[in-house]
Amino acid sequence: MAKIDFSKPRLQSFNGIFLIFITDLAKRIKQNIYILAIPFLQNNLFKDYGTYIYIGLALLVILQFVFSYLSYKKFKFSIQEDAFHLDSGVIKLSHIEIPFERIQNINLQQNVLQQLLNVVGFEIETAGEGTAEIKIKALDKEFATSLKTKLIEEKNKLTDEDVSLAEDEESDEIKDQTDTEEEDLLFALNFKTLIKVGISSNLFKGVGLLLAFLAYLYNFIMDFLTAVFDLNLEEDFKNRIPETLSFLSAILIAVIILGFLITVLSTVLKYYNLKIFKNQQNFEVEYGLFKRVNKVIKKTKTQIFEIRTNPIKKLFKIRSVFVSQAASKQLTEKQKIGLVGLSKENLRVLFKSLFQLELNDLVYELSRSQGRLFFRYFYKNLILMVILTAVAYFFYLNWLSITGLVIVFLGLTGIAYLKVKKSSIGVNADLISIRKGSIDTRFDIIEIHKLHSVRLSRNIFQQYNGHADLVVETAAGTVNVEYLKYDEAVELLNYLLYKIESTTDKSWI
Amino acid sequence: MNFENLGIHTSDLPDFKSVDLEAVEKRYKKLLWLNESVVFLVLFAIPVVGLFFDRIPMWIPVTALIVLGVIFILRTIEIEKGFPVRKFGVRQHDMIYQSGFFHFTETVVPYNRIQHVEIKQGPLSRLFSLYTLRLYTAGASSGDLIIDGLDQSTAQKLKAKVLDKTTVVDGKN
Repeated sequence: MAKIDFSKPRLQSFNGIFLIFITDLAKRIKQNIYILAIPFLQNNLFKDYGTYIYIGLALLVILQFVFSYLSYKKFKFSIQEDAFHLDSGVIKLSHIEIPFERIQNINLQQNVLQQLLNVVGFEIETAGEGTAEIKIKALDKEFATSLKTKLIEEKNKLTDEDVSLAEDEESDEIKDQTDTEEEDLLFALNFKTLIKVGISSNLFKGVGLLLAFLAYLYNFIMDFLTAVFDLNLEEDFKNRIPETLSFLSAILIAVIILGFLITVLSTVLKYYNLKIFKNQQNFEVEYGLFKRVNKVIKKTKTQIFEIRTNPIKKLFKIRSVFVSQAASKQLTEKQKIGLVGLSKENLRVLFKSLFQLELNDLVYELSRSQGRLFFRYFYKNLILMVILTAVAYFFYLNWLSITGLVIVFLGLTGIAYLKVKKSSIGVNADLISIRKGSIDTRFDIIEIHKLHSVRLSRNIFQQYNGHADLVVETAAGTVNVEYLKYDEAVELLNYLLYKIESTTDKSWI
Repeated sequence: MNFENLGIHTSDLPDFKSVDLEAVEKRYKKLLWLNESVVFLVLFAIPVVGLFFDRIPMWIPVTALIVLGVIFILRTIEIEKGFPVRKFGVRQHDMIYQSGFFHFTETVVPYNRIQHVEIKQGPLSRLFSLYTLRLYTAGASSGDLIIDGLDQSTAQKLKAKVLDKTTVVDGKN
């Protein structure tokens, strides 16, 4: 790798101009999407003012290009002795400085456009409250990697200096390690397993996506047809559907099959060529076909380690892990780092290097959620059923919808039963493991010293029948266990507090 | 559960239930009521005004009034019954806060997990010279501990205590 002088302020890769231009343009169009609807309202608008409109649009696009070019020119970054510096802004100038020690993660990623233009996106995450994050849209791949290495080097140098004051020998050792910091590939997901992952994913996600899309399409087409041809297809359509049961079930089956395919496809696209590298104590994860994502899992930042399985996954002998890292907000499903298609051995190795513990040898003291929890779910389902029945009563009440309602109700009740059965919390000397799920099963594993507040929560019924919900807070969000026996919950709370307060481990964020 | 494998007997552990808790200032209840009555005055005013419009069918404002009335009664019970259990406690390594009648929660935040401490005073609480103590922990704000209705000296004392503890614990490690 050639030595690059990072101290001189630099621009992004030349192709970045186009990337910035296209993304800005897309943003503008998205913001003003409703303007596109105007021509539909007035048919003779184009006839009368066509040329003016085109010239105006062209001018706007050119203006946007000039603006994008300027923002490209003004976007300069460099590494000075103590920090990463970034200047940006065309009208409002801003200067951001990130001291090396505040850099938490550096992520590289490529979406389709970036792949086409052969550039990578560069992100610096900090531990702060969100906004100081830096995003550079377009860098040469090689440059990005060397910039990343440089930044990590600088950061490590800082921590080394801290250590070297106390222990000289050890710091040498660490330096050796950083020098030989070659990433070894821990796991690579092959295509066959990826397909298995897709098949075993929750198919309702795909079905939901499909339904949302269909609803959108339906609305769009109906609006369009009604507006343009002045037809009322809706009435016509509605009159024909109901009687034909076979038609309905055909649609249902088609939706499920399509949903299944969409689930498989989206999983394959998302996790295509998943690779996990180990470098020192941290992991680097890379995945995605169109949008290549590169993320770092830090041992110290890891808060919740989720293991998910379901019957189909068990059949394929694979499981997924979702890692939540410390953040200033409650993490959404999307922000968790997903490692899918792991074998038992992969999981063991991963777990061991994150927690220094053998996953399969762990013994927990179990406390189960009590049976009364079933009523909580039952009442919730009941409310849902009342609403559904009311809807059915007003729109479409016959034996068909009643059978449907009964089936839904039985299904929900079954799921509630399974949920109660599965819900439990296990504790041992270092970890808590919270089990949840209905048909699927997930374990949330959290190191006790990473908890930072614990709570017992009892509604008025629980106060009378001696139950409590246990809620624990981590820096990546809240996790709770419902309906434990009150005495057990108090004991658990005492134990957890004792553990948190007596720990000497400082790496708890 | 007996925690045999944990190497500790749970009976030996300090029980957070055994701590003497202190109540918040009595006048905080007045503030709660003031707040409550302002909100409900506005809420009740809307359907009452609605009664005088002929265009709106009678049953809409009446139902609204009944629903509001039920909510108001529940809120009254919550304030009256919930106020006596609104308590905080200070232990050697953590702070405890409990509140709620219909939904009783007991929160414990260890000092060595607190990021920073803040004493706040809103416009209404200035009227009653009451203060709010907020203990920030890392991550989402759901983990923060907020104690309302303290007088100035208590709030300052608690803050000093927490800050003192966080630094002492840091120093030890």
